Amino acid sequence: MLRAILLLLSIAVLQATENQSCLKCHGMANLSEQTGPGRKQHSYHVALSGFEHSNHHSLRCSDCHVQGYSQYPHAEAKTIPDCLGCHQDNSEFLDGSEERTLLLRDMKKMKTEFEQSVHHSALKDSFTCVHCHNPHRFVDQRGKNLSFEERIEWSNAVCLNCHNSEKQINELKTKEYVYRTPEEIHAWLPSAKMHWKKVRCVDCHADFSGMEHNKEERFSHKINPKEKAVRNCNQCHSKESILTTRIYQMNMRKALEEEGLIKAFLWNNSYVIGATRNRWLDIFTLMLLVSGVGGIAIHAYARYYVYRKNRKEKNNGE
Amino acid sequence: MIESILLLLQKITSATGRFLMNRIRKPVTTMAFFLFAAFVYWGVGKFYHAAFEWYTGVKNAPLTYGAFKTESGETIENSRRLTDREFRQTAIEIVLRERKEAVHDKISEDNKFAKEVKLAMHQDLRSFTDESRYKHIGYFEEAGIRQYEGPATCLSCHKNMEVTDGKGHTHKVNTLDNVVNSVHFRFFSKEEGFSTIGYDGRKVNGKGTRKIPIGKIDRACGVPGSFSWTGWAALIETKPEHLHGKKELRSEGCGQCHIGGNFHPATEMMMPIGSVPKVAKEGIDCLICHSQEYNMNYRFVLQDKHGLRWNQDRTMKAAMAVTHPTNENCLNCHQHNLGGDAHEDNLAAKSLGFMNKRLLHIGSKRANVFSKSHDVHYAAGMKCTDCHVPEGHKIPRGTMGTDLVANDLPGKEVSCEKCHTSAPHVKSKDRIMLNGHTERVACETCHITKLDKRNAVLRDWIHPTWDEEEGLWTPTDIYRNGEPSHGIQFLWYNGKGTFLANALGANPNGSDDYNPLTKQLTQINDPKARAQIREEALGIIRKYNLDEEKYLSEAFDVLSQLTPEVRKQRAAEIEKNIRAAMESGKSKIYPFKVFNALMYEDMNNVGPYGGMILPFDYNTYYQTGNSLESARVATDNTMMRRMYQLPFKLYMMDEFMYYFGVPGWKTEYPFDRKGNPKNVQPKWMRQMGTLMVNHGIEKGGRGCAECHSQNGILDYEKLGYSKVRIADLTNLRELKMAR
Repeated sequence: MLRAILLLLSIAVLQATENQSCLKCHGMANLSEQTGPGRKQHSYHVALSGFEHSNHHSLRCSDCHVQGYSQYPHAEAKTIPDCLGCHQDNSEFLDGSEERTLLLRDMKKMKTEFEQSVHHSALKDSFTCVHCHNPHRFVDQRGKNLSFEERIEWSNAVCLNCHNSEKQINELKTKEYVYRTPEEIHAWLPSAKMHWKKVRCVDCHADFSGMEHNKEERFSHKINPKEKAVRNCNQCHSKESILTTRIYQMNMRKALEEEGLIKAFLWNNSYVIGATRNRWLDIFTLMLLVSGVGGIAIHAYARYYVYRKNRKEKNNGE
Repeated sequence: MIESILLLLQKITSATGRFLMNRIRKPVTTMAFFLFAAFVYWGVGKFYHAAFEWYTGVKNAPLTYGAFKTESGETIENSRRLTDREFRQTAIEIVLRERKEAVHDKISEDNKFAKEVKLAMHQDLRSFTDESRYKHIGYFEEAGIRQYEGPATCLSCHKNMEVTDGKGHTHKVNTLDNVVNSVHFRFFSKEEGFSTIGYDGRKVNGKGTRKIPIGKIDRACGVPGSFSWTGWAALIETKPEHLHGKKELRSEGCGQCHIGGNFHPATEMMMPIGSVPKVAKEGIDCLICHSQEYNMNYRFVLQDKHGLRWNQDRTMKAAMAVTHPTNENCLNCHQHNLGGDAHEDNLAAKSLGFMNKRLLHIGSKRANVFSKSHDVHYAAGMKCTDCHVPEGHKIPRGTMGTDLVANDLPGKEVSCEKCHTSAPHVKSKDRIMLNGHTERVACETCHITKLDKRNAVLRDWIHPTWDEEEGLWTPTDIYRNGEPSHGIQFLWYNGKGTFLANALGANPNGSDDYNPLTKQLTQINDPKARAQIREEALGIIRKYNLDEEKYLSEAFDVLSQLTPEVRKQRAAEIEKNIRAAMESGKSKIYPFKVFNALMYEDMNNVGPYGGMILPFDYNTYYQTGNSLESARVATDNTMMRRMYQLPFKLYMMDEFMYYFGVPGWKTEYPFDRKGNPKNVQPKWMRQMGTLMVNHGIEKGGRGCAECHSQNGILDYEKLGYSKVRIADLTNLRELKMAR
């Protein structure tokens, strides 16, 4: 037992010292260079504060940066870190948790999806996993107990990290391209800001075909070109809303699990105009309205009737 | 308080006006009333100016710029009407010279004669003749302007000008107002925008403070005499060696760089009400900044029947060569505080005056030369205004600054990063690593490797030395050095400074050990430096029969001038008032020119950092070498007397003292009726001042080992690093690998 603890401790210490020695340089915020064409600034900075809280926090730098990194300057022929080295067909990665098992199971599928995505077809090899999932910062929030809005915000942040930044986009662009902000691009969409709070970017921009019974809050890595994005209001705002197979499916299920049928039905966040319509509620409301207006009308008539009657009696009395 | 008085006055006048208007009905009475009102207004103005001149002792009088006779009997013309023929001849002369200079750099020919032939061929070619910058020759020719009469001539066309602000909006403004309200004319600012924190912890003229005028006009800086009233213009009788006993008059004073050619600075403007009179505005020297033919020989002190003032070049020739300001224009004055008066690259020093030649100060203020051979940007053909991008006549000096110099555009950035980005190194194999350093290390730290050797670090004003060559008494520089860790100190800096120009900053690691106000800036411990100071000081120690031990120990450790109690109070105050300002913002390691001076202090108005220093009268100082008498004469100046009276105490001096960390201004005059000093003592400032150095940029910077080695230029311990980190920084594994 003691030995095991010592071993664990020494691994932790080793990890700390090795990473510290890397961060001596890579902790410099401006460790970067301008690269042509267009004077793009490429950063080599790794923020310790971000790494410490990331999913990879327990790794040593050399676990991914395997060869050619031990000297300054680093060797020309250094190995390029390979995400799939761990995340695919690697039983070492499994720790018995459901998340990791599923991740490993789906990685092949994800890879195929990604290779069909617009990111890959437009940018080829210059766009990899790390552009969305910065390994030095990435935190998988899915297992965490986040509110519905927080989960959406986290998911969208992955996209907006680049798409909200002219600089980032320009660094990646391969052809002449005039940057437009997501607000400009979505000018056609009424209450765009509200939409972004309530749905994920991928809900409209990814290809969900074949994922109707998606149980793991997963979306397809096949991001469609913008022409194929959902643009028809009816696709969400109708009885057959596609959202019921996307983010709201998970949301509803989660609510059911946590709060029971009635509460989930009454208080859930999945209200979407046109989509989550309840016929009985409509009829009930209409009845309420009719009886309310009718009640007032009857009451008014009664008051008028009594007033007339009183006046007649008074006149008769004189 | 002043605001409320003004408000009351306004109320009274408007009430009176209403009362009168209700009673005046007939047109004749109305007219009489308005005439009377105009008369009163005129009379009040006259009275105010007369009263003002009586109170302040300054004087305004019409300024003339006619021909003058030099000592050798030669007559030099100044503002004069040219005949058409002279006008054309002058035009040809200056255009040819311009063309020759333009062509000069384009011809690479070593053989002198061949070069001359090629120059002659080139200068008449169309490609070159079309490019004259002197468009005004044509304008003047057409408009029939043959005489330059100062601002009036310029304003006849440029009454208004368009100013583009930082946001890209264009405004039409009155040119004269724009100039008069710029720092170049008024020498102070009364607005927010100082990057200075008082020793009491308040930001100077910051939000919630009572704003007072601060700038060169009233700032007690390290060079006494620059109280601008006492040191405005002086004619010094010198006895230079080469004249064998004969006397020579020399010009001196801070007015030499002022663009207003008056008898005093813009005194009226720093008062609560009023502006400079019309005659003062007529003295503005437009051409020193705008003419490529400005002859600095016209800049000398002249005496007319009203007093002493600085002459200026008002020749038609200079006016014809008007352009946007070039580096030469700026450096006419600014090389004085960059490279220094006596530096070989100071072009203005080659034209000291047709008469009463200007005195050159040998010890340099920054020793940070801006010239073709010393600065990579200058050599690249860049103009001052490429970085200091003006908005009209307001010129930015950046958002950072330790000194108390007024800033016309305090929010406007002037920085290396603006062009070079935060990843400036693009060629070196270590570029990524070097770029990494920019987070903690300022560009200047590596790209200014040293200052000029004439960099004045310790100056003793009390014990002057006789300068045989010039034939006058000068303050004694007991330490001149431009080397790192001597004349340059490396400090953490976040852009702010104290009221006595100490750079503020903190090690981002949060260490409290970093405290230059009690360490770096108060002690000189380096044995080499100490030896040099001792050697330099021995002359005056012997001459003035000083206690060597005491003199040197005070110079080496300026805090030894304080009692232990005051020292303790000072240390506690720094933690309480200054520490927060040190830790604010983003600090980087910057190089600073350091300086200290032994001066007379009015000990009634002095705190734990320093305080009121007494100015020196130039004539007395230079001619007799009697520093105390010189201080007495200068303090007798009317404006200085007024500062020691109640109105000025309330208007600004109290506030000044709060910033000095002193509870308030004491109006007790420092000399008695007989002229004996009362509580006046020679003192070093209690810490060295630090000035930013940003020019004289070298292309290749320092090598890694200059800092990362055992005996590197950075004192990591004083910079607040831990022992472990120091061991790391001075013994980099990576550095050995790279070799």
